[in-house]
Amino acid sequence: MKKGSIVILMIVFTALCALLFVLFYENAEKTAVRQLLDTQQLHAKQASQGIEEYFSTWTGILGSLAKIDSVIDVDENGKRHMKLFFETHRAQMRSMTRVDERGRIAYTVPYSSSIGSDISDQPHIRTILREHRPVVSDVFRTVQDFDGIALHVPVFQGAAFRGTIAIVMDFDSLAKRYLEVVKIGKTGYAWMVSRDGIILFTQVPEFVGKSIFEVSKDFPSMSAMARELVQGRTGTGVYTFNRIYEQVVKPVRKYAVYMPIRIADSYWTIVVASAEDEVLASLASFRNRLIPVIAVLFLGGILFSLLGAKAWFIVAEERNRKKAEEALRYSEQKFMKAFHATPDAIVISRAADGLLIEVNDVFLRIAGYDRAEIVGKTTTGLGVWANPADRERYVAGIREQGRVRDMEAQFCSKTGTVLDGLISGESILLDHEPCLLTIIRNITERKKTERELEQHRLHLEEMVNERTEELRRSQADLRRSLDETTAAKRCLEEANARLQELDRLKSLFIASMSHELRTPLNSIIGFTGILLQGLAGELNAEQRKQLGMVKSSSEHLLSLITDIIDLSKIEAGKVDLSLESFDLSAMVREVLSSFQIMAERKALSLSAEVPAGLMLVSDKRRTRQVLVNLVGNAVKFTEQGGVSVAAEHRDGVIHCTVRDTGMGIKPEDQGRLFKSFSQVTTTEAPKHEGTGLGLYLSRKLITLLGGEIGVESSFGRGSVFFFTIPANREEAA
Amino acid sequence: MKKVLVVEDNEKNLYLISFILEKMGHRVIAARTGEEGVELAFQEKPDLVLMDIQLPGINGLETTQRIRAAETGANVPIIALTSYALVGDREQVLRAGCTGYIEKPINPETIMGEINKYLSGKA
Repeated sequence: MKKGSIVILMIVFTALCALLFVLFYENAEKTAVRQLLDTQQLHAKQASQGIEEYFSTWTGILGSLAKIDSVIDVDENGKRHMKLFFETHRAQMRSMTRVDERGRIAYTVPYSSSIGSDISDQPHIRTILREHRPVVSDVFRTVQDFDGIALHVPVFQGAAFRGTIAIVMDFDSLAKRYLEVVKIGKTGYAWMVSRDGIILFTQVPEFVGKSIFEVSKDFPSMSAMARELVQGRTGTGVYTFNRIYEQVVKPVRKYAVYMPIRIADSYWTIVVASAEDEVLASLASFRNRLIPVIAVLFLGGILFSLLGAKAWFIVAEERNRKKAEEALRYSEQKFMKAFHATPDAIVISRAADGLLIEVNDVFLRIAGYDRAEIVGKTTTGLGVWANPADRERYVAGIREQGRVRDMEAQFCSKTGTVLDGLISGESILLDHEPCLLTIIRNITERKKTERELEQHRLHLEEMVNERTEELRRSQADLRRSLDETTAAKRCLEEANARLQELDRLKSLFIASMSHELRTPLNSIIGFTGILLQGLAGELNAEQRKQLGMVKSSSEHLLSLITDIIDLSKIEAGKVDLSLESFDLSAMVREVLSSFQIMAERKALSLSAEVPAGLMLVSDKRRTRQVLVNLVGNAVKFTEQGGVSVAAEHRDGVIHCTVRDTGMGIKPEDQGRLFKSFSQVTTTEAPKHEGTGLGLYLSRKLITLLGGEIGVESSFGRGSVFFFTIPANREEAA
Repeated sequence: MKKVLVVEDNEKNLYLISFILEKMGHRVIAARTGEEGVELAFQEKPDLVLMDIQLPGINGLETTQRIRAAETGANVPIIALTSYALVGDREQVLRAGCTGYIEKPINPETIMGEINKYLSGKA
């Protein structure tokens, strides 16, 4: 913070003050320049207006003279008139002339010798002869050796042009009157150029009559301004030009304003310019006043900042000191608390001779001394070490490694009791003197316990040895019986393997048998079909009836075999579900219609109450198999009335019922109903054709599909078989 | 008249199918094993193959795959004759390259229509 900050502070202040100064100064300079330009503009305007007025007045006067008949005719009267006019205004003109329409001098005063000379070749005469408008000549040097300027006004007789009436004025007196009076400060003055860029008037006599472009060819800024002003424009400019002052040539920057002076058919341009010194001179006093102000501001700022920084340092230092003191006090307190609160004895002693410097209360209590008794004593002097060799070992350990950890040693109390201790220590510096910080943990009790434990251990070992011998004996007995068990287990495993093999053979047998059984049946059914269709020749009615029976029996046998295969597969756990989405209402209609003929034969009604488009995802063929079984049973066991199927979707589950008006089932028979090969038989009811496997298979299938199946029935009043299946087996699985 | 190759090991079934096909006016070429079926399929270039699945030696699925593997057999319609009870047969036969399948036992009332359907290429 200290030196670096002060340097930065000073730099910042210096920069700030410099910036302030520059800003103020620039602003003042701008104002001064603007004021100068305003003043110059005012002068230029005055001069320009004066000259314009001068010429317009004379144009008016000459215009009046041009209307006098005698002047038009240039008769004697007219000549006298002009002479009189010239005499009256002699102070302001050098001559008065009447030129005829061909450009010859008809009359002039006072230089009458020129009368009759032809001046039609002069440029301004050519102009007025052509355009019949007032004209002003260039400044020219007359034969009488003065700089003159001529103003010609046209003379008309009616509409006819009759030449001009003119006066020649002394240009120097004009310049003196309007331009030389322009003085700004010490260096500001006016100069004037014609529209062709010829310098008409300036402070340097040798430039008069020269082209401004010629004069300013080495000063681009001035040339640029010259190009502007010969076009008759008004404006301001800054240019550099040489100033010759007491034989010293020095380029000077100048501030200028320029504006045109409109006279007759042409214009001149007046320029009022002042050197930059003029502005700077006026600024000097301002600057001289500004510098001390800024300096005072600068020094004041620095002083203030230094004082502020110093005050801040003092406060910060005071704060740090307090903090350090606080930390020291806190750590001392902590140390003292630990020193006395620890359960271990702590001793601080001088390394050189073992003189006790400080001990904690625990040491005093264990060793049995008062604090007063140990003052000025050494550990050896008090006889604290039971074996002096321990002390040597301890001190040597500290000397070699700087510290000792958990060394076992024995100590003597004041009363002569020997104590066991675990000693740790390290060397510390107290008031620049090497000391030992020693911590002694009293392990007398622990040692005693250890010794007792050792006794117990020895006793235990004896007991264990006895036990081991006993165990060894009984182990031999065990091994014998274990051998017998293993043999029995092996027998069981063998039996199990045989059973599994048998089961596999059974499944294989059923699978191959079913194929073997089905193949001839397929051809029986096929050929019966061909014969019934008459493909092999016409049949009579009896033949047709008997063949029909063959076909129906074969189909029954086939369904029986198919059921057995299904069951054996389900029991062997070899069933793969084939899930697809299908419409249960369509399936119910289709199943019912397949029993239509059978129902009609018994005059039974078949009805369905299933919402159209009741979709589910499950195994279509197996669902159908269950429906066929239940509806088939219902139709088979019902003699009058009808069979109705209902289904609905509730909470992701399809509930389906098949209701009949058959003979019903006794409660005691209902339990057996879903077991294999059971067909409830009664003496009243005729024996029905069926496998007895239908309900058993249905229950297996429904379980497979994740649902339940059951029956409600009262004997003599019909039965209701119901089952549930998940609407989406894929999600339920 | 179309040429139909029937691959079937059971003589009675072979006779049954041949009888029906001949009644329909087709010429029947009979093969009793899968190997014979593959050979005749390439030799005779039949218009349709009826394929029993359970055959001695190579079964109907493999026979189908062998016929399909060659260029001459790549496009002939092959109809599997499958047992109704075997779940998953349908997917299996289609995966092996069969065009379709007819379930056993054969129903003479419907089998004619089905055969004509495959012969005309509408299935």
